[in-house]
Amino acid sequence: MRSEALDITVESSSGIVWVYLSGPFHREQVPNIREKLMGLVEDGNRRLVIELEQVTEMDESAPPMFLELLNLVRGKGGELRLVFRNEVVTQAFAPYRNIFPIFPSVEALARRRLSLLWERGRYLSRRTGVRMSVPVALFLVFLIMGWFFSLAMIIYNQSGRIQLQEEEIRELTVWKQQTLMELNELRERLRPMEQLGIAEPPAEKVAGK
Amino acid sequence: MGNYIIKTVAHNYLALLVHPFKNQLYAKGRLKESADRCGRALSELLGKYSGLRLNVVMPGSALEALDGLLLSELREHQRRGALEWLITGYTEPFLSLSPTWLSRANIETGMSLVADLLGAKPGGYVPPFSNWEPLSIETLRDLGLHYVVTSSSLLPPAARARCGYWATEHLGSSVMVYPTHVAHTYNAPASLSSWLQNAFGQDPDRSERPKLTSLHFLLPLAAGADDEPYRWLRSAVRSLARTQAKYQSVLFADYLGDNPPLGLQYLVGALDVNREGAELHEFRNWLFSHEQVGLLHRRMLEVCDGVSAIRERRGSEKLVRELFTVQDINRYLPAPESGFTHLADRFWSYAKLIEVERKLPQTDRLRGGQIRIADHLRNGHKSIIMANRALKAYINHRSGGAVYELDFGGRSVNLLAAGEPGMRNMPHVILPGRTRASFIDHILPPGLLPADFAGDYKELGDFVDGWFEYKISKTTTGVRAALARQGAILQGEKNRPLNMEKVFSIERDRAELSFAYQLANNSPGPYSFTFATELSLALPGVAMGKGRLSVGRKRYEDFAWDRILLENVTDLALEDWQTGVRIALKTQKPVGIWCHPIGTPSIGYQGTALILTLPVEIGPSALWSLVGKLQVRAVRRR
Repeated sequence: MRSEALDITVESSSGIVWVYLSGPFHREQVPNIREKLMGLVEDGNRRLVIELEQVTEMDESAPPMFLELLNLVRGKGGELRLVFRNEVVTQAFAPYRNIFPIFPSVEALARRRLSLLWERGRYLSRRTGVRMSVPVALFLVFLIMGWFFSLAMIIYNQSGRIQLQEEEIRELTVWKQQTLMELNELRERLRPMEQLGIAEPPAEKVAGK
Repeated sequence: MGNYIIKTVAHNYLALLVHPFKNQLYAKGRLKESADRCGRALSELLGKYSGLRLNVVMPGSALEALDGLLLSELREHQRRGALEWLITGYTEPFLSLSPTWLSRANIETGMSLVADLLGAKPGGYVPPFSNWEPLSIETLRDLGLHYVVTSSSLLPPAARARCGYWATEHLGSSVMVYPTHVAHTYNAPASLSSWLQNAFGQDPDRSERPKLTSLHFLLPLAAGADDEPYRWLRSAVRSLARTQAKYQSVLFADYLGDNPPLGLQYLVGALDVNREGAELHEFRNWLFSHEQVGLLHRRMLEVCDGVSAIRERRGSEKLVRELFTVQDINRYLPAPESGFTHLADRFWSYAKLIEVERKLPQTDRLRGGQIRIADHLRNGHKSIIMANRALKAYINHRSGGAVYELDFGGRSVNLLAAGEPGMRNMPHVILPGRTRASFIDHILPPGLLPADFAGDYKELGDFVDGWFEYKISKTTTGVRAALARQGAILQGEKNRPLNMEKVFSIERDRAELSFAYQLANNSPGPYSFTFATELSLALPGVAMGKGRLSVGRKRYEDFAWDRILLENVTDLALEDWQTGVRIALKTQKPVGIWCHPIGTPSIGYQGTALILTLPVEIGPSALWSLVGKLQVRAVRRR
């Protein structure tokens, strides 16, 4: 049936929802797909990537639907990216190529994320007025990492020392208990002799001196 | 000087094709033992009768189990021209139901194996059960196969008595066909010479050309300890030796080289399982009138698509080889001891498919949940497939919103592989109301007894095969499918509106399928009925006495054929120690559960059905709900 010709796969990773569409995208499917994609946004997903590489046909009413979705996502502070490079979809999106962020492949999108980090840094630098050269930035990064590393080493060493001390205390406690037991045992043995007057109790010995 | 009359003696030839086969699944050790016994018998016969010419066909997987010494003996016989080896493939691919690339890979692997083990590539192909597909001619030609051997029942009746071989073509490609008379150990001709005399006598062609008749003798590899299958073969070979002057055994390739074909025959797509009264060209209608075979087939195609997408990658050859075993025709034909009608066989096929699927790179993307809308049933309608790394559920929103497959990755099992035995009138992949699926919802008269539900009862609702609209959700914690139907309930003589919404969800990577029902009465009057939903679970261990049903402190063991009535249940567990699975059903409200077996002792255990029931009273403009979950976990196998 034309209204159900498209296969949809939805999955997520690292906070991004990936939507894969495959098959012919007919006019009759636009409402159905719109409902599903809008539903994903309403579920709280703000970062969407839609892969259209396996779409074999695309009706002209499909790109405006994606435009609607883009407006919705951006209005909620999110982002929408499209991934395709096949001719059919490229032609359908040609009038909108400057509006949608379009990537030829998933790998290109991943590379873009790294460069986005870089761009973010530059943007913040302009806003705050803080300028830093690369060597200085690297030096600061190493310095901070070094602080953290030193802190971690100190904590590790201290924790090792504490464990040793605890072990020592345990051993001494055990030794003390054993010694007390032996002392009591010896006292018990000496008592009959004390009673017979053969041995002096310890306090009398001291007094005798 | 006298006149000499030169009498030419036209030999009549017999091409004897010996086909050791195994339909059942069994361990490699047993296969090796059986294959060695067969190899010894064949080598002994070829060694004893120097004039004997034997054609042998065996799947590559059985051939590679043969002992090395036996292989070298057989190689020797082949070298001296006494033995010709034909091929079905690495296994016995079901050409009509398999993707072309997989069948080609299967046959090619089999051919390479024969070439490696026996020193020469086979020239002939034997489609298992004469499952002929005209489109396969091009594949066979590409692979270098020159002829095929099929049952003579594929020919029109007028041509079946002719002695020789034919050419067949399709879309410009052609291949030679040897039609054979198929014989098993139980119906092989008692006297081969009489049979041959009859076969040649029936040929309407009275010319003096050399004639050929072919006998395809099937002998089971899994025979018992006795000598039964080889007894007929030995006596046939002895008879041939005695009548050598009249009938000579010949190899297919030799006859092909020396004699032209009888003519051209167009063969339609066919399957010959010796089913009485069967029309060969309608075999797919007959086959898909059985339950479960269609689902298994669609599942196989889905996994094949996944493997096909990564065929260029390293390591994919191993996955393809694993698919050869699931592609085997014996998994898709009903038989007394094998095939999809047996739960254990079906379970094995699903297990293999799930294992292959879990090795695909796409499985890494299931973390956190995935939801797919795809035409899995290949009927033009979409199914909803929800998956995480532990569980995978297939939902048919068009027929009752039922869950028809539920994979548990921890044990590579499809928990819903229970099947309704028997045949339907028409072929279907899924037939609402007949196909054993789960979460099939009934609206029943109040106070209905379990015995009534098993027999005739009045269905008040229209949800069993109703079309549900659906919405999918993907959150950070999981995936969800919400199905909704504006249905009806029969109250008195009139249909009144009743809306049902049911939501299935899978969270994170847990092996837990949550479900929630909500019924809405939008009419001005109250409703009173019994709500019931069916779960059909496949638990092969239960049939072997290795299972348990637990409800609170009560334990039911060996319950495969018992009918159990439980009341006020919120927590129930089913364990299958053979499969190593524990399924816990938890509900928010106490429910009644009717537990009964699927199948009969004569047909075999096909699963256990649980019918969850609750009396429902909904006032006007009111809602009723039921929430629950199915938790699955692996347990120790015993």
